[in-house]
Amino acid sequence: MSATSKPRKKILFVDDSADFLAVFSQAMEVTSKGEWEVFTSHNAAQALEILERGPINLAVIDSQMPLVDGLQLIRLLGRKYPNLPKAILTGFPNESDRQACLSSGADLYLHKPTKSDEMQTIFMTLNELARVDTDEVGFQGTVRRVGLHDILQMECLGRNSGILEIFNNDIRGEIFIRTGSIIHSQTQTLSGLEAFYHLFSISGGGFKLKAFIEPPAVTISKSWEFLLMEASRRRDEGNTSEGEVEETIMESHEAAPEVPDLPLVLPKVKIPKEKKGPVQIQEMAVFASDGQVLYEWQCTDIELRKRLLEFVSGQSKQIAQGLDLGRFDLVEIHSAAHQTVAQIQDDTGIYLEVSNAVVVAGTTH
Amino acid sequence: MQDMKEVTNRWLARNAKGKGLVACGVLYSDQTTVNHTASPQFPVEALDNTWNCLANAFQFLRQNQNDGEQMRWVFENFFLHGAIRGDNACLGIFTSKSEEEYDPIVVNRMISEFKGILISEKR
Repeated sequence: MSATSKPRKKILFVDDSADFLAVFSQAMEVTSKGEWEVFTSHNAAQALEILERGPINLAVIDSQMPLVDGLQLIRLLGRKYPNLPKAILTGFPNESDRQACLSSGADLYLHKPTKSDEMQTIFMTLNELARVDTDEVGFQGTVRRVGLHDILQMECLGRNSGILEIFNNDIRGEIFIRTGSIIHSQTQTLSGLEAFYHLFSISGGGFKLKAFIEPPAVTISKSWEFLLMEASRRRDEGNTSEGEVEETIMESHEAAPEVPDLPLVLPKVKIPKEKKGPVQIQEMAVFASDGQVLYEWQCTDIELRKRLLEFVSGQSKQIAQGLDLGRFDLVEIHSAAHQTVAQIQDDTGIYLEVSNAVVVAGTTH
Repeated sequence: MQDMKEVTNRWLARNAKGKGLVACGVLYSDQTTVNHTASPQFPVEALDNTWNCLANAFQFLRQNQNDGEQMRWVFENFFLHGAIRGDNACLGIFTSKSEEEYDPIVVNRMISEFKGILISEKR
């Protein structure tokens, strides 16, 4: 390897579906043509263990996972690794989940791809997010490969709602999208279409998707298809309202990679049978395989929690003696006051204590 | 004690073929057990061992400031439900994980009734 070669970006995928994780992470690694070093984990504990070992450039997290779901993991990582870029990947997008994830620290909320040709957009979007230097404040360079065009198109096609915040050293502005329609845009000095076309023309800046709130006014009524076409035309002609911004979004020496035609057969994602009510976490602890505390929140006695996990791990093996029960996942313990969940996976453990809102024996996960 | 065991045994026999149940049993405080199994995959010896593990787990919880009296162990292929009542009798139920076969209402009802036997007999 030459001294000038770029270090590989370390990308962590977290998904409880082993099949999807294997197919998707492999596809992404192939697509990256060696630029990514991919790490995979099936749950929050494994993810934390990987993060503990060394810096990661981007965490891509499944929204619906048992025990600690995507939203909870986003919040947890936000506390422990505030500069880590985080993306949610979901098979079941919905507006409330999207808003919750974005307002809890997710930088992107993406749909799981179902076709091979969606992989390129997903890869490029994640690749841009992974470019964020976690040691620096800001998002320099995140708009270089994936133009706003791609992001806006994805948001509008998905009939999503959100605010796309765009900024570079000189400009800061927002594009408001409501259920797939671009309804408003503003910068420090411009509003409406002028602001939109101006923001569309910037390069070398960054973007961030935020939860939707109503704009001060609805100033744009044209279709998003028209807006994107017109903005592209203006950008190509250098015809922006202020002429000093750069014309190109892609750097010439970094052409978009050609994506191999991947035989992508994605496994079906389990549809949750019922929606759980709100669960209030009272205590949480995550342990590595060697007993090291990876994460701890409001634990009254961490040694006791560790002892319980060790006991559960041993008992699960005892129970399985002479029976073909398959791999042990977790035990839920119900008392009058609260529920305790102890999960053991690949020798990592999660201890969770929640208020009594979950139905006893009520889920099939 | 003997009456309580007989009542519980009769009740378990009536309920052992509930929807989604593959095996169930009770471990009494005198270490005797009663088992019902619908599958050769769940031999009596293995079930005795399982109910012992459940009882140990409840004991461990009590010793460690946890007053849990009901639990569900989630394995790849089966659920193991456990409950303990005031006379330290421990109920264990293996159920399928298939959404078509497993009915949580059946399990919850059985656990409630198991605890209820003790209350009604004390009256």
